[in-house]
Amino acid sequence: MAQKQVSTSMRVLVGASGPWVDANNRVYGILKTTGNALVAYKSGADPLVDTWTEQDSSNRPTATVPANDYAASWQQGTVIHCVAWDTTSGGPEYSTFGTSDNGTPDAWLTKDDLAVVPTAPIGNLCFIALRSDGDVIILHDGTREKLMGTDYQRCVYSRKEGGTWTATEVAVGNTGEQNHYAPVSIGRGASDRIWLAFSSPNAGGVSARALESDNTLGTGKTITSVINSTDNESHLLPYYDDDGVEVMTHSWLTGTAINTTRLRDGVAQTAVSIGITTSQPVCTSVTAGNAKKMYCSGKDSTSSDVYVYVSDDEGSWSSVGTIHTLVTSSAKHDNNVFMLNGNLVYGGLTQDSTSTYYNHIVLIALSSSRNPILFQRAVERAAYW
Amino acid sequence: MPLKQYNSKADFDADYDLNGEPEGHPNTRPGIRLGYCRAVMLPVAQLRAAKLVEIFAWPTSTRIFMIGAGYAWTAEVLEQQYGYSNIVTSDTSPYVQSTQDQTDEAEINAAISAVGLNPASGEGATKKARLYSPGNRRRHSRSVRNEDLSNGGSRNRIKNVLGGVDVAISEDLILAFSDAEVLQAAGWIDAIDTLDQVIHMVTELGAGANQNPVFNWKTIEGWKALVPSHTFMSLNDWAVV
Repeated sequence: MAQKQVSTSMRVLVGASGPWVDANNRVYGILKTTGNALVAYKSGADPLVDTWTEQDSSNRPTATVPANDYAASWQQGTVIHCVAWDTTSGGPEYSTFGTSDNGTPDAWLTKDDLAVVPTAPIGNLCFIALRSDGDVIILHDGTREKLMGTDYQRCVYSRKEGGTWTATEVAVGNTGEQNHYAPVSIGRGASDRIWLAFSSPNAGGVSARALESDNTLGTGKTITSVINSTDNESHLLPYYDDDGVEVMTHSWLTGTAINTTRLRDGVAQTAVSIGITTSQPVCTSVTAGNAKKMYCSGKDSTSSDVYVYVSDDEGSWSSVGTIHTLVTSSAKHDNNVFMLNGNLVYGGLTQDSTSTYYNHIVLIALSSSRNPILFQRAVERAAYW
Repeated sequence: MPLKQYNSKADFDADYDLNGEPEGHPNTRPGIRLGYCRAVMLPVAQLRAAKLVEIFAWPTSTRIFMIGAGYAWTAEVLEQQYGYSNIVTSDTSPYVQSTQDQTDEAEINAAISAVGLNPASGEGATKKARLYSPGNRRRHSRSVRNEDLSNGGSRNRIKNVLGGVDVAISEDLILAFSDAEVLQAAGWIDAIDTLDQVIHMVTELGAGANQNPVFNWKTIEGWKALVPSHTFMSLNDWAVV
């Protein structure tokens, strides 16, 4: 298998590494060092052959990614937007990286702490999504509280509009409820709606609230009532438009099986088990952007290989193939679907022991002259995800 | 003797440490923290009252006794927002009894000062305005009685306030007692009157939750097994058994 070693020392961040691609067909991965610093790696012209190198190492973000690997990134246009916990400020740090087609190419551009920070959160979870107008939404752990001897917290979101962080956090979870909520996913749906998903480990289940484009926060929608850990490794809520109906997919683990539940027009559908047996939580879903496909990958508990699965628009999953062959069980994995040199590919970054690898599967060899509509939609999705 | 007693402010502070700034705070200073104060506990009481009404839907004429009521904030909400006017409350905590007629202004001032703000000016004053109702606002809105129900006289004093009791509710109380003490208290509650229902609102044992091991943690199913004739309501997900 033609998987390319990206680095011998960098580590993959589940749900945060990408890979991302720019208009020059350079592939990027947001990784972390063994010292927990956030770094940007870029491929050469052929990501499966040419050497990958770190970009702008002297201006790495100041955030120190917690040992549990919680960080997140989101590409929009020529900028990769990142968030990771800043152990100095005690809150999430937002940073941006310009890809090679940016006016300031291959460089870290900005880094700033949020206007408000939580106090002593139970975890260090943080997720990021952008609206089409550039507003940044970060979902993260809230302030830890104690009530009648039980620690709990609500997760909160912070918002950057017009270049300024809002001075308030808005808790996600019901007011006054004494549960330990933790964020698990974020995604952009129809009409610039941002879905904020959070779990309640002691009450069980995952819910989501919609943050509308006018910043109205909707009521909670149950995604699944199955008890999840906060570390369910599903960091994106992929979206597609099913003939005018918004469909978001949430992936999660029960024991060793990957399951998916779809929010169709805000209503949870019956959960579907993908059927792969995993020993490691390496599950991330992405949208392909054409034909309403969604992709998901997971590591087989026996072979350690990372398999790719695809769903049809009815939520039925089938195997696509193997994207990485591995020899150790310590894999972390992140993936994406994007246009690369005229092909629609499923790209993955996988960590095997301490080394990081890139590989992709060509899903559709596209030709813009033969199928211009499909080509355009795929490019739009590549920009989203 | 209960597993956990609330005799002093320190006893409450050990188990109640709440975010006084749910709107967030600048990263240049710590956030304001409050203990068992009205400003941070009232949202909890509002949710509890709303769930009680939603789930049990008693007529507003129902005579309700709430034990372990603290400063009776849940009872206050039941009365003022839902129209339940026949409620009597009790809490035997010496701290509650000695402070229920006082305001919590000093506690709020101290919490604001602790993060480097002046409660009398600037941002500190803004925070205080949100956390503290001006004037001589007592912690309670109704007198909280000091009845432990351990004898007929105590039980009769509760019963006689309303001329009888229809529903008894303990408010996150039983986890502070051993199983034997809960069984004893259950018998005392049952002896107040011919009750329609006895409900124990309780924080459940949470899988993966960080919980003070001094308490008697159980699921509501575990409590039901201990006292089958009573009703148990989870304060985590509002399930009822």
